[in-house]
Amino acid sequence: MPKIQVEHLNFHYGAKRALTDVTLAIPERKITALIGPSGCGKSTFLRCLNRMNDTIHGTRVEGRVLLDSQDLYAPGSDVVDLRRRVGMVFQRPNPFPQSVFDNVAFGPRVLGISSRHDLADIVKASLRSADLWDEVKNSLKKDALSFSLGQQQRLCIARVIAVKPEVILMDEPCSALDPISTLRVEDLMRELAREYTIVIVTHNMQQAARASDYTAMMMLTDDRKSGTVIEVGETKMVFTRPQDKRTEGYVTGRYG
Amino acid sequence: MTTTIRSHFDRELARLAEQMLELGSRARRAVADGVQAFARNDVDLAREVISADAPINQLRYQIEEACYQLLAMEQPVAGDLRTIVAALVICNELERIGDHGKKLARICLRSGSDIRPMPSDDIVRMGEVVLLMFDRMLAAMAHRDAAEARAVCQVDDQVDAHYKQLFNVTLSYMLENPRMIGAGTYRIQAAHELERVGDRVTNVGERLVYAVTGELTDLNA
Repeated sequence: MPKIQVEHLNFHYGAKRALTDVTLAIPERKITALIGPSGCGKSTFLRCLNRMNDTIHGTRVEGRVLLDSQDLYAPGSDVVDLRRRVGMVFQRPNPFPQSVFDNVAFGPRVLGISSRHDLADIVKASLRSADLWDEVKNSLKKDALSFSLGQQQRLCIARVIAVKPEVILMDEPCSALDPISTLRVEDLMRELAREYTIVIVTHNMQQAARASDYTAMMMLTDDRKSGTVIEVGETKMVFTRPQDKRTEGYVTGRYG
Repeated sequence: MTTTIRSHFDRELARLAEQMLELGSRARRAVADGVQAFARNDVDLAREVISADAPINQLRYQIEEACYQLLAMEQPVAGDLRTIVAALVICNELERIGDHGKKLARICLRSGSDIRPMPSDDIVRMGEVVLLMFDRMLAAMAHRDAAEARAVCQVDDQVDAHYKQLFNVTLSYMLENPRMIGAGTYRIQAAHELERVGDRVTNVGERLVYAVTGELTDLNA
């Protein structure tokens, strides 16, 4: 059973439709990449998976997004808990202007954990999981913003992990990083996928090919007014034998 | 709407396709001349075929190197990747076809002194079938025609049938007249080289089908 099942999703920013009839299954504990040209709705779709679009005035959703068979958009859904279960890492690293420790401990504290000992354990475990512990263990009180962008991004991942999510959404998590940091984050994703379901938006074809198990190709609809999914499959097949000519055109760089 | 963004890459792919056809053309000539050299006992032609083999090998390595560079520099995927990977296999097969032409020429040089040559009409006929098969496959390569490639692969059965018949006829000759054994052996060797050309053309077809469709299958089991 997929971890997330999206069924006939339409999304509107006010009067403007941004997504049309998106149906997609996100497998559990796999990495699913969303690729497609700019403006086709990839990030909009990603934000539908944890209702981050709710923060934008005038948005409207039709269709269903099921997390473990529960509709996220059902009346009475606990959006705060949803955003704990479905965490997000953004394009630009955005640690809080606080210490490394306080960044990672922030979420657990909000959830009611106050024991210093418990928080220390959570912080250490999360930083280990984010492949950052060895670099910061002697600098936990240091300002998070003093670290490199690659370290900041891994800190943001640790922050997500600290509240024990089930799904991690990543919106172009490496676009601000150097190539080595990018590869470290990709390796980290592979490790994290043992425990978490990961959905990543990326403009980097090589990254999608290297780092994901499944790839969903998004494209503008024929009227070019909204985005939809035109093909989804195992990444190795999408990049060697795509079914849709538009996917072939995009992954080979012929379609801009 | 699809726009051609990777024009440099497209030009390189076109150049690769041209080089492959050039290699195919030279390999074809090696086989055709090898058959003629053997059939007519033309030692001068045989020596020309042998001399022409080194440039064929050189062209094969140039193509191979070009493929490696394209893989590294362009990071191709999907159809582009299949085309380049198929080219790596096909250029090897084409170069080997050229080798079979060279071997036919060598057989000519070895057998030229035989005082009782055997008829060569059936070698020539077998050569014509093989060369027609090869011509069709080169055309299929030029047009990226997977359907034609599949059809051409079926002709290998005819090539195999020619070989079996020639083998049996030659064996009969040798049994009836032991002094024909030398010449008969050369005939069988020559026919075997042509039979292998048929097999290699089939291999080319399989990779062409893969490049165009993504399907990897044995086209003449």
